[in-house]
Formats: sequence, C-alpha cells, structure tokens
Amino acid sequence: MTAVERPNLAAYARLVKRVATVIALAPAIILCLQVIAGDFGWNPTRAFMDTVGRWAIRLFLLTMAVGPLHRLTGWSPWLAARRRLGVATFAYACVHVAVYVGFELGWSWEMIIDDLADRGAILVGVIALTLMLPLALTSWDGAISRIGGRAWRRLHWLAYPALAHAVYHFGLMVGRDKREALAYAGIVVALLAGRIGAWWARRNRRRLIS
Amino acid sequence: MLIRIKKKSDVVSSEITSPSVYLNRRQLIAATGLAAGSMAFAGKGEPALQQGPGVNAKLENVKEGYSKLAQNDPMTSYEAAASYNNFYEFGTAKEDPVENAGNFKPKPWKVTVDGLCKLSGTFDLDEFLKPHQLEERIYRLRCVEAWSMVIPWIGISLADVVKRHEPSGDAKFIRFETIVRPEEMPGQRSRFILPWPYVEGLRMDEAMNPLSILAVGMYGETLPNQNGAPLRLMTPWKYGFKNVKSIVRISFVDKQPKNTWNEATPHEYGFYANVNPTVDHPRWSQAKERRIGDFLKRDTLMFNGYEEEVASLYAGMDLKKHY
Repeated sequence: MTAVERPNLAAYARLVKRVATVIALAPAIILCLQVIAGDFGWNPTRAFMDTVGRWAIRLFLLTMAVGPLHRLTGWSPWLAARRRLGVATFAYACVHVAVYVGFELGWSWEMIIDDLADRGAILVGVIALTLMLPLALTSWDGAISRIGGRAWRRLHWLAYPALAHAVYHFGLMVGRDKREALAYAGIVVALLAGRIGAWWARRNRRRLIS
Repeated sequence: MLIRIKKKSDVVSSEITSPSVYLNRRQLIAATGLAAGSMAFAGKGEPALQQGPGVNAKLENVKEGYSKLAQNDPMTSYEAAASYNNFYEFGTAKEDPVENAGNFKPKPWKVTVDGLCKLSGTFDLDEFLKPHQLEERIYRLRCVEAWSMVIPWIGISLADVVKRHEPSGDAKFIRFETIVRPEEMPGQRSRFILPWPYVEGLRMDEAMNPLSILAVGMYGETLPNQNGAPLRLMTPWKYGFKNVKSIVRISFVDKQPKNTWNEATPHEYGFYANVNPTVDHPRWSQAKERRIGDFLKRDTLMFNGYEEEVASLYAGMDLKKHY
C-alpha cells in the first residue's frame, strides 16, 4: 500500500468534526436570521421557543444516528461528530427551557412549581433534560478517563431514554397535527431497534467464540 | 423588538390606522364610573367609529355599542388581528388562514335557521341581518392558548336575533355550524385535523346575554376571510374557539350540542370554555396571557374581565368541572 492510499483516519476525523461544528451551529444561525427577518410573527417568543425545541430534537436524532452510521459503514471517523452534535443538542434544549421559564412562566417560582406538579407534558420534558445533564457534564476527555470507558459508555446509554422523553414531550405539546412528532417517534424506534439488534449480534458472536 | 418582513398578502403599514389614533378613542376605564351591569357608551363628541385599513368594504350605519376596556388595553393592530389566526379550516399554523383564505367566497351567503323556533328558513345574509342594528363593540379576545388581542368588532346583538326567530320554550341551547367547503378551505380536506363541520353551541341564557354578538365586521369593515367572514360569533368572556366562524346554520335545540373541540379532546376543551385564570389547561397555565405585541405576559381576568356582566349565568356551577 502506498502512503496515498492508506486511510488517514485522524485527518478524516478532523474533517468530520468540522462538518459537525457547522451542522451544530447552523440552527443558531438560521434562528438569528429568522429573528432579524421577523419570521416569528406576532407571538415571537412563543414561536422562537417552539422552533428551538424542534431543532434540539432534530440534532438529538442526528447525534444518535452517528452510532448506527458507524456500525453500518465500519468507518470510525463518523464517531468524531457525536460529541459536538450532542453538546449542541443540550445547548439548544437549554435555550428552549430558558425561553419557556423566562418568557412563558415569567421566572415565577409559583408557576414553575405549578407546572411540575400539574402538567405531565412539561414533566416529561424536564425528565428529558435531566437525563441529558449527566451526559453533557461528562462530555470531555478527562471525564472518560476519570470514570473509565466502560462506565462512561454505560452512562451514555441514558441518551436513549432522554431522546424518547424529548420526542414524547414534543408529541404531547403539539396540538392536533402530530405528524412531525410521529415521524420523529418512528426514527427513535428505528434507532432503538438498531441498537438492540447490534447488541444481540455482539452477544451471539461472543457465544460462538466461547 | 422583532422586525417583520412583509408578505404579499400582508397589509402594508400605510393602510393601518396608527396605534395612537386608536389610543385616543374611547378609552373607557374598566368598571369605574359604570353602574354594575349597565350598558356604557362612549361620551359624545369623541370620534365615533374605527376607521378601517381599506382592505374590505366599509360598513355603513353602524352605531357605537358597548365597549369596556382598561387603560392597558390598547387596540391590537389590524395587521396582527388579520394575520395571526386560529382557523383550522385553512390550516393549523397561525399564518395559514391569511395565506390560504384568499379563494374563499363569503358572497353570496345563506344562513339557515332551524330547529325549535317559529321563524325558520334559509335566508340571504343581507335579509338575515336587515332587521338588526349594526354595532361596534371593542372586546378583548382571549385565546385558550394563552394569548389575547383587543379587537373592534361590528355585529348584531345575538339576543335580538334569537327574539326575532321566536324559539319555543323547549329550546334550551343554540347550535352553530361552520360551512364545509373543502375546495376553498384546504384544512377541511383532512379529517385528521378535526371532524368537520366545526360546531359550537351556547346555552340560551348565554346567547341572550347583551355581550353576545354575531359579528360581520372588524375595524370598520367587513370581516376578512381569515377572521370568519361573513358571519361569526363573538362572546368575549369565552375562549376564542367558542366563537365559531363562517356560520351557515343556526339551530334551536333542546339538548346541549356537541362542540367540535370537546369532541376532539374532551379532557382539554369543555362546552363552556369560559375564560378562567384558576382552571388550567392540562398542558399550560391559564393564569396569564400574552397580549399580542407585548413581550411578557399579563394576568388573565376572570371571565376575561366581563365578570360583572356574565358571572350570574354560572352561579352555583362548579367551573372546574364545567370548564
């Protein structure tokens, strides 16, 4: 093999990372342009909040698609995209919640407590964000070495229940037209099936070896 | 402040009466100086009626009707009122009605009055309206989704309509029905959205309340299609969805009609739909609302601020149960 033909995986990983950065920042840029253009109409804080929330879910789905993409192609540089997309997902989710608490609830503790006590749809969203929190906090290299690769990977399985809760929250919050939410739910089911399938295959392989 | 790019269908701002003009008109202060339950009219010498933006036909022979607004109730701009709408017959997004209502034909129009009444039949809209006085009523409009507007409607007293059609003693409710025209109303092509036709109802005493009107116009002109042309209900103490649009049928009935949103999502939307800050929607609080144009929310008033006029209708009723 000549040097030219040898795949320089580290270089590809850097490229994938750069593309992931662009994808992660794209919604923020689009949102800014929409704000400047006045696309959010007559109830702009509400429309902005809804739109940021949708972006968080889309980025979450994309983050979770990186694993299967790696499994299907066997090309490891894809994995370099995951952390950027995941951290961006968390950032958009935080903006979504901040707009909700700030402008819809007016930073009122009474309203916040009332919400958590009475509104299942909001609680589902809060669970989604809570499940994402330990993942965001451990999204740096030091964290992996500190808690160990195996424990880290186990911890990050929380991404699946977090995503499921985020999509469920979206489905509960949209009114009569649930087509978008159902499409996302379908993707979640496919991702979950793929993950379980991969698991199953690995277990069977191990059995054959032993 | 957000800037809004004009779409072709939007009204250009030069066509809109400036907010300061609205602010100078009929700023009635809630409750103060008004005897309980009495009808209040604006003082003489003030400019009489709202001037429209010239989008639709100007309405003539309109008298000033009952308007009770607080000082912090400036009129919503025509542009907002005519382009931020819930009218699922034209689509579920707020901008769908203004974008999709262009092909709707509100003329000619016939209204059928039937059921338990003496004067029933199908009437041309003009004939239906003719016996009644057009009045301008500036009302707060509170959507169940926790946003609100202040809109100058033009309409006729629903009580007068009821009296003219002479319902029998057995008529306890009125049922209203929106037209079904899927070829002109794209939202109606899918029953997935809501079961059509859209149906709403009022108890007879609610219909007879002096606040209840059948509106044919707003801002001095006939209703834009997206606001429910040519005839819609307006009961300002109820959430917006009670105020059925593009009415083709009015029926006097003995049983409580099944209203569309209650059929679709019974745990979220009831028959009464009275504005009530103490009874929350399952998915959000009703304690506050965002007045369109404001950044932060304000407190929602009991019966949307029309407690004096309508509270007696619900005396002894558990409003948490009858939401």
